[in-house]
Amino acid sequence: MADLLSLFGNLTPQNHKVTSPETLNYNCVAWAAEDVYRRWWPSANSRIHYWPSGIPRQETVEVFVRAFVRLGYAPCDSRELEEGYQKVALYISSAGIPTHMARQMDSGKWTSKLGTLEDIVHESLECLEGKDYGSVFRILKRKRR
Amino acid sequence: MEPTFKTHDVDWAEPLHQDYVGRPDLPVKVLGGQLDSDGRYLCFDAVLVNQAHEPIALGVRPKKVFVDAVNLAFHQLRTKPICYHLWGQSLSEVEPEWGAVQFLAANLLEFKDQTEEPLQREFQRHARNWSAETAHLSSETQIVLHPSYQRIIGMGPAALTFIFRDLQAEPKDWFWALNAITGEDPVDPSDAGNVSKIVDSWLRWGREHGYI
Repeated sequence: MADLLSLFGNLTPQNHKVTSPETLNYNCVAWAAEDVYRRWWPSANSRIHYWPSGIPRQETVEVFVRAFVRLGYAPCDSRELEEGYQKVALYISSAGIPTHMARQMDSGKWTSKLGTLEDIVHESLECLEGKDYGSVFRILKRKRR
Repeated sequence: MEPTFKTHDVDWAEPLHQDYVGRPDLPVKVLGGQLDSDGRYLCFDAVLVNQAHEPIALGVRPKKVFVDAVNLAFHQLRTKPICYHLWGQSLSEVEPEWGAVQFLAANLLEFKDQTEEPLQREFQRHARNWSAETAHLSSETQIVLHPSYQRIIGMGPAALTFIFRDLQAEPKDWFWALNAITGEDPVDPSDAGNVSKIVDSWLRWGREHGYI
Protein backbone atom coordinates (compact mmCIF):
# COMPACT_ATOMS: atom_id res chain seq x y z
CA MET A 1 0.00 0.00 0.00
CA ALA A 2 1.45 3.33 -1.01
CA ASP A 3 1.61 6.26 1.37
CA LEU A 4 -1.18 8.31 -0.16
CA LEU A 5 -0.72 11.17 2.28
CA SER A 6 2.80 11.74 1.02
CA LEU A 7 1.64 11.65 -2.60
CA PHE A 8 -1.28 14.05 -2.19
CA GLY A 9 -0.63 17.03 0.01
CA ASN A 10 -4.30 17.85 0.53
CA LEU A 11 -5.24 14.33 1.58
CA THR A 12 -5.69 13.64 5.30
CA PRO A 13 -6.77 10.54 7.19
CA GLN A 14 -10.05 12.33 7.87
CA ASN A 15 -10.96 13.34 4.31
CA HIS A 16 -10.52 10.07 2.44
CA LYS A 17 -11.05 6.34 2.71
CA VAL A 18 -9.40 3.55 0.72
CA THR A 19 -12.08 1.39 -0.87
CA SER A 20 -10.24 -1.19 -2.97
CA PRO A 21 -6.93 -3.04 -3.33
CA GLU A 22 -4.33 -1.81 -5.79
CA THR A 23 -4.82 -2.97 -9.37
CA LEU A 24 -3.55 -2.21 -12.84
CA ASN A 25 -6.76 -3.52 -14.40
CA TYR A 26 -8.48 -0.15 -14.70
CA ASN A 27 -7.52 3.46 -14.23
CA CYS A 28 -9.14 6.71 -13.18
CA VAL A 29 -10.90 7.38 -16.47
CA ALA A 30 -12.27 3.85 -16.61
CA TRP A 31 -13.42 4.19 -13.00
CA ALA A 32 -15.14 7.48 -13.80
CA ALA A 33 -16.83 5.69 -16.71
CA GLU A 34 -17.75 2.78 -14.39
CA ASP A 35 -15.67 0.27 -16.32
CA VAL A 36 -13.42 -1.94 -14.18
CA TYR A 37 -12.30 -4.24 -16.97
CA ARG A 38 -10.21 -1.92 -19.16
CA ARG A 39 -7.89 1.01 -18.79
CA TRP A 40 -9.09 4.09 -20.66
CA TRP A 41 -6.73 6.69 -22.04
CA PRO A 42 -6.38 8.37 -25.47
CA SER A 43 -3.03 6.63 -25.87
CA ALA A 44 -1.20 6.97 -29.16
CA ASN A 45 -0.74 3.19 -28.95
CA SER A 46 -4.26 1.97 -29.58
CA ARG A 47 -3.68 -1.41 -27.91
CA ILE A 48 -2.39 -0.32 -24.53
CA HIS A 49 -5.54 1.59 -23.56
CA TYR A 50 -9.15 1.45 -24.60
CA TRP A 51 -10.60 4.64 -26.02
CA PRO A 52 -14.05 5.05 -27.56
CA SER A 53 -13.89 4.57 -31.30
CA GLY A 54 -14.13 7.65 -33.44
CA ILE A 55 -12.79 9.97 -30.77
CA PRO A 56 -9.24 11.21 -31.38
CA ARG A 57 -6.42 9.76 -29.32
CA GLN A 58 -4.99 13.02 -28.05
CA GLU A 59 -4.45 14.15 -24.47
CA THR A 60 -6.68 17.21 -24.64
CA VAL A 61 -9.61 18.44 -22.60
CA GLU A 62 -11.82 18.40 -25.67
CA VAL A 63 -11.12 14.75 -26.35
CA PHE A 64 -11.91 13.72 -22.76
CA VAL A 65 -15.11 15.75 -22.84
CA ARG A 66 -16.13 14.10 -26.10
CA ALA A 67 -15.55 10.65 -24.62
CA PHE A 68 -17.87 11.41 -21.73
CA VAL A 69 -20.44 13.17 -23.90
CA ARG A 70 -20.57 9.81 -25.68
CA LEU A 71 -21.60 8.34 -22.31
CA GLY A 72 -24.40 10.84 -21.92
CA TYR A 73 -22.62 13.56 -19.97
CA ALA A 74 -22.72 17.27 -20.70
CA PRO A 75 -20.51 20.05 -19.30
CA CYS A 76 -21.88 21.92 -16.31
CA ASP A 77 -20.73 24.64 -13.96
CA SER A 78 -21.33 23.27 -10.50
CA ARG A 79 -19.47 20.57 -8.65
CA GLU A 80 -22.16 20.44 -5.95
CA LEU A 81 -24.42 17.43 -5.62
CA GLU A 82 -27.58 17.77 -7.72
CA GLU A 83 -30.51 15.48 -7.07
CA GLY A 84 -30.91 13.00 -9.91
CA TYR A 85 -27.59 13.77 -11.58
CA GLN A 86 -24.24 12.02 -11.66
CA LYS A 87 -21.13 14.13 -12.15
CA VAL A 88 -17.54 13.52 -13.18
CA ALA A 89 -14.62 15.91 -12.84
CA LEU A 90 -11.60 16.32 -15.10
CA TYR A 91 -8.29 17.44 -13.62
CA ILE A 92 -5.62 19.03 -15.78
CA SER A 93 -1.97 19.88 -15.24
CA SER A 94 -0.59 23.41 -15.30
CA ALA A 95 0.22 22.72 -18.95
CA GLY A 96 -3.45 22.01 -19.66
CA ILE A 97 -2.98 18.24 -20.10
CA PRO A 98 -5.64 15.96 -18.57
CA THR A 99 -4.25 14.08 -15.59
CA HIS A 100 -7.13 12.54 -13.67
CA MET A 101 -10.88 11.99 -13.44
CA ALA A 102 -13.14 11.53 -10.42
CA ARG A 103 -16.80 10.50 -10.15
CA GLN A 104 -19.36 11.88 -7.72
CA MET A 105 -21.23 9.43 -5.54
CA ASP A 106 -24.82 9.59 -4.32
CA SER A 107 -23.55 11.03 -1.04
CA GLY A 108 -21.92 13.98 -2.78
CA LYS A 109 -18.45 12.63 -2.00
CA TRP A 110 -16.15 11.72 -4.85
CA THR A 111 -14.51 8.44 -5.81
CA SER A 112 -11.19 8.15 -7.62
CA LYS A 113 -8.92 5.39 -8.85
CA LEU A 114 -5.38 6.53 -8.17
CA GLY A 115 -3.34 5.28 -11.13
CA THR A 116 -2.36 1.68 -10.40
CA LEU A 117 -3.04 2.17 -6.69
CA GLU A 118 -6.32 1.94 -4.83
CA ASP A 119 -9.76 3.47 -5.28
CA ILE A 120 -10.54 6.03 -2.66
CA VAL A 121 -13.57 7.99 -1.59
CA HIS A 122 -12.65 11.63 -0.95
CA GLU A 123 -14.64 14.39 0.62
CA SER A 124 -13.96 16.98 -2.05
CA LEU A 125 -12.25 17.41 -5.39
CA GLU A 126 -9.62 19.60 -3.74
CA CYS A 127 -8.30 16.55 -1.86
CA LEU A 128 -6.42 15.40 -4.96
CA GLU A 129 -5.40 18.76 -6.38
CA GLY A 130 -1.68 19.45 -6.35
CA LYS A 131 1.53 19.03 -8.25
CA ASP A 132 0.70 15.73 -9.97
CA TYR A 133 -3.02 15.97 -10.72
CA GLY A 134 -3.09 19.74 -11.10
CA SER A 135 -6.56 21.18 -10.58
CA VAL A 136 -10.13 20.53 -11.62
CA PHE A 137 -10.91 22.15 -14.94
CA ARG A 138 -14.21 20.69 -16.12
CA ILE A 139 -17.29 19.17 -14.52
CA LEU A 140 -19.72 17.09 -16.55
CA LYS A 141 -23.06 15.67 -15.51
CA ARG A 142 -25.72 13.26 -16.69
CA LYS A 143 -28.98 12.00 -15.29
CA ARG A 144 -28.47 9.13 -12.87
CA ARG A 145 -29.26 5.76 -14.38
CA MET B 1 22.69 -30.29 -5.31
CA GLU B 2 25.00 -27.45 -4.42
CA PRO B 3 22.84 -24.56 -3.25
CA THR B 4 23.02 -21.51 -5.39
CA PHE B 5 21.94 -18.10 -4.29
CA LYS B 6 20.55 -15.52 -6.58
CA THR B 7 18.78 -12.33 -5.78
CA HIS B 8 15.56 -11.06 -7.20
CA ASP B 9 13.77 -7.86 -6.49
CA VAL B 10 10.26 -9.24 -6.57
CA ASP B 11 7.25 -7.35 -5.43
CA TRP B 12 4.96 -10.35 -5.17
CA ALA B 13 4.44 -12.37 -2.05
CA GLU B 14 0.80 -11.66 -1.34
CA PRO B 15 0.44 -15.26 -0.13
CA LEU B 16 3.45 -14.62 2.04
CA HIS B 17 1.68 -11.67 3.57
CA GLN B 18 -1.47 -13.60 4.16
CA ASP B 19 0.05 -16.78 5.46
CA TYR B 20 3.08 -15.72 7.37
CA VAL B 21 3.14 -12.05 8.09
CA GLY B 22 -0.43 -10.95 8.51
CA ARG B 23 0.47 -7.47 7.42
CA PRO B 24 -0.84 -7.18 3.82
CA ASP B 25 -0.15 -3.46 3.89
CA LEU B 26 3.61 -3.95 3.90
CA PRO B 27 5.58 -4.86 0.79
CA VAL B 28 7.95 -7.81 0.81
CA LYS B 29 11.14 -7.93 -1.19
CA VAL B 30 12.55 -11.32 -2.02
CA LEU B 31 16.29 -11.06 -1.79
CA GLY B 32 17.53 -14.53 -2.48
CA GLY B 33 17.06 -18.20 -2.06
CA GLN B 34 17.85 -21.66 -3.24
CA LEU B 35 16.77 -22.34 -6.77
CA ASP B 36 15.97 -25.70 -8.28
CA SER B 37 17.09 -26.68 -11.76
CA ASP B 38 14.10 -24.88 -13.30
CA GLY B 39 14.92 -21.66 -11.54
CA ARG B 40 12.10 -21.94 -9.02
CA TYR B 41 12.63 -21.13 -5.39
CA LEU B 42 12.94 -24.04 -3.04
CA CYS B 43 13.30 -21.60 -0.23
CA PHE B 44 13.90 -17.94 -0.02
CA ASP B 45 15.03 -15.17 2.19
CA ALA B 46 12.82 -12.15 2.24
CA VAL B 47 12.79 -8.83 3.88
CA LEU B 48 9.72 -6.99 5.05
CA VAL B 49 10.09 -3.29 4.44
CA ASN B 50 8.15 -0.30 5.64
CA GLN B 51 6.56 2.38 3.49
CA ALA B 52 9.93 4.07 3.12
CA HIS B 53 11.35 0.76 1.89
CA GLU B 54 13.53 0.45 4.96
CA PRO B 55 13.99 -3.19 6.06
CA ILE B 56 12.16 -3.99 9.25
CA ALA B 57 12.04 -7.78 9.33
CA LEU B 58 13.68 -10.72 7.67
CA GLY B 59 12.71 -14.27 7.22
CA VAL B 60 12.79 -17.51 5.32
CA ARG B 61 9.75 -19.30 4.03
CA PRO B 62 9.20 -21.79 6.78
CA LYS B 63 7.51 -24.70 5.05
CA LYS B 64 10.37 -25.45 2.67
CA VAL B 65 13.38 -24.29 4.58
CA PHE B 66 16.57 -26.05 3.66
CA VAL B 67 18.47 -25.36 6.82
CA ASP B 68 21.87 -26.12 5.32
CA ALA B 69 21.21 -23.76 2.46
CA VAL B 70 20.05 -21.08 4.82
CA ASN B 71 23.13 -21.56 6.92
CA LEU B 72 25.29 -21.24 3.85
CA ALA B 73 23.55 -18.03 2.93
CA PHE B 74 24.16 -16.56 6.30
CA HIS B 75 27.71 -17.90 6.30
CA GLN B 76 28.25 -15.97 3.09
CA LEU B 77 26.96 -12.94 4.94
CA ARG B 78 29.46 -13.65 7.69
CA THR B 79 26.76 -13.73 10.30
CA LYS B 80 24.46 -16.22 12.00
CA PRO B 81 20.98 -17.39 10.94
CA ILE B 82 19.38 -15.98 14.03
CA CYS B 83 16.31 -14.60 12.36
CA TYR B 84 15.09 -17.23 9.96
CA HIS B 85 12.30 -18.19 12.26
CA LEU B 86 10.59 -14.84 12.08
CA TRP B 87 7.86 -15.64 9.61
CA GLY B 88 4.68 -16.49 11.31
CA GLN B 89 5.36 -14.28 14.26
CA SER B 90 3.67 -11.00 14.77
CA LEU B 91 5.71 -7.90 14.30
CA SER B 92 5.47 -7.20 17.99
CA GLU B 93 7.14 -10.52 18.68
CA VAL B 94 9.93 -9.49 16.36
CA GLU B 95 10.70 -6.40 18.41
CA PRO B 96 13.31 -7.93 20.74
CA GLU B 97 15.48 -8.80 17.78
CA TRP B 98 14.96 -5.55 15.99
CA GLY B 99 18.63 -4.62 15.89
CA ALA B 100 19.68 -8.01 14.62
CA VAL B 101 16.98 -7.97 11.97
CA GLN B 102 18.07 -4.61 10.72
CA PHE B 103 21.67 -5.75 10.68
CA LEU B 104 20.85 -8.86 8.67
CA ALA B 105 18.59 -7.01 6.32
CA ALA B 106 21.25 -4.41 5.67
CA ASN B 107 23.77 -7.15 5.00
CA LEU B 108 21.42 -8.92 2.65
CA LEU B 109 20.84 -5.71 0.76
CA GLU B 110 24.58 -5.25 0.49
CA PHE B 111 24.95 -8.88 -0.57
CA LYS B 112 22.29 -8.31 -3.20
CA ASP B 113 24.14 -5.35 -4.64
CA GLN B 114 27.37 -7.29 -4.82
CA THR B 115 25.91 -10.23 -6.69
CA GLU B 116 23.85 -8.51 -9.35
CA GLU B 117 25.17 -7.49 -12.71
CA PRO B 118 25.59 -3.74 -13.17
CA LEU B 119 22.95 -3.53 -15.89
CA GLN B 120 20.44 -5.44 -13.79
CA ARG B 121 21.17 -3.13 -10.86
CA GLU B 122 20.64 -0.12 -13.08
CA PHE B 123 17.37 -1.54 -14.40
CA GLN B 124 16.10 -2.29 -10.92
CA ARG B 125 17.06 1.11 -9.61
CA HIS B 126 15.25 2.86 -12.45
CA ALA B 127 12.28 0.49 -12.25
CA ARG B 128 11.93 1.19 -8.54
CA ASN B 129 12.14 4.94 -9.06
CA TRP B 130 9.65 4.85 -11.88
CA SER B 131 7.19 2.68 -10.02
CA ALA B 132 7.41 4.71 -6.82
CA GLU B 133 6.95 8.01 -8.59
CA THR B 134 4.26 7.11 -11.12
CA ALA B 135 2.11 4.40 -9.52
CA HIS B 136 -0.51 6.99 -8.55
CA LEU B 137 -0.73 8.44 -12.06
CA SER B 138 -3.00 7.56 -14.97
CA SER B 139 -1.63 9.99 -17.52
CA GLU B 140 0.31 8.03 -20.06
CA THR B 141 2.44 11.07 -20.79
CA GLN B 142 3.45 11.39 -17.14
CA ILE B 143 4.08 7.66 -16.85
CA VAL B 144 6.17 6.99 -19.93
CA LEU B 145 8.06 10.27 -19.98
CA HIS B 146 9.37 9.65 -16.47
CA PRO B 147 13.19 9.87 -16.72
CA SER B 148 13.72 6.36 -15.30
CA TYR B 149 11.25 4.82 -17.76
CA GLN B 150 13.00 6.61 -20.61
CA ARG B 151 16.37 5.40 -19.32
CA ILE B 152 15.11 1.81 -19.36
CA ILE B 153 13.88 2.23 -22.92
CA GLY B 154 17.33 3.64 -23.67
CA MET B 155 18.93 0.38 -22.53
CA GLY B 156 17.41 -1.20 -25.63
CA PRO B 157 17.12 -4.97 -26.05
CA ALA B 158 19.41 -5.53 -23.06
CA ALA B 159 16.51 -4.47 -20.83
CA LEU B 160 14.06 -7.00 -22.25
CA THR B 161 15.04 -9.92 -20.02
CA PHE B 162 14.61 -7.75 -16.95
CA ILE B 163 11.32 -6.30 -18.16
CA PHE B 164 9.85 -9.70 -18.90
CA ARG B 165 11.04 -11.02 -15.54
CA ASP B 166 9.37 -8.07 -13.84
CA LEU B 167 6.22 -8.54 -15.90
CA GLN B 168 6.06 -12.20 -14.92
CA ALA B 169 6.28 -11.27 -11.27
CA GLU B 170 3.59 -8.61 -11.38
CA PRO B 171 1.65 -6.76 -14.09
CA LYS B 172 3.22 -3.36 -14.60
CA ASP B 173 2.97 -0.75 -17.27
CA TRP B 174 5.89 -2.01 -19.35
CA PHE B 175 3.85 -2.18 -22.56
CA TRP B 176 4.96 1.13 -24.00
CA ALA B 177 8.62 0.25 -23.33
CA LEU B 178 8.24 -3.22 -24.85
CA ASN B 179 6.67 -1.72 -27.94
CA ALA B 180 9.35 0.96 -28.19
CA ILE B 181 12.27 -1.45 -27.76
CA THR B 182 11.03 -4.33 -29.92
CA GLY B 183 9.04 -2.47 -32.55
CA GLU B 184 6.44 -5.19 -32.11
CA ASP B 185 2.87 -5.13 -30.86
CA PRO B 186 1.56 -8.65 -30.28
CA VAL B 187 -1.66 -7.46 -28.60
CA ASP B 188 -4.92 -8.09 -30.43
CA PRO B 189 -6.70 -4.76 -31.05
CA SER B 190 -9.85 -6.17 -29.47
CA ASP B 191 -7.92 -6.57 -26.20
CA ALA B 192 -7.12 -2.86 -25.96
CA GLY B 193 -6.95 -1.79 -22.34
CA ASN B 194 -7.40 -5.34 -20.97
CA VAL B 195 -4.31 -5.67 -18.82
CA SER B 196 -4.36 -9.42 -18.24
CA LYS B 197 -4.70 -10.12 -21.96
CA ILE B 198 -2.02 -7.57 -22.82
CA VAL B 199 0.33 -9.17 -20.30
CA ASP B 200 -0.43 -12.65 -21.65
CA SER B 201 0.25 -11.50 -25.22
CA TRP B 202 3.59 -9.97 -24.31
CA LEU B 203 4.69 -12.92 -22.18
CA ARG B 204 3.84 -15.24 -25.05
CA TRP B 205 5.91 -13.03 -27.36
CA GLY B 206 8.74 -13.05 -24.83
CA ARG B 207 8.77 -16.83 -24.68
CA GLU B 208 8.64 -17.19 -28.45
CA HIS B 209 11.62 -14.87 -28.78
CA GLY B 210 13.72 -16.42 -26.02
CA TYR B 211 13.53 -13.67 -23.43
CA ILE B 212 11.73 -15.84 -20.88
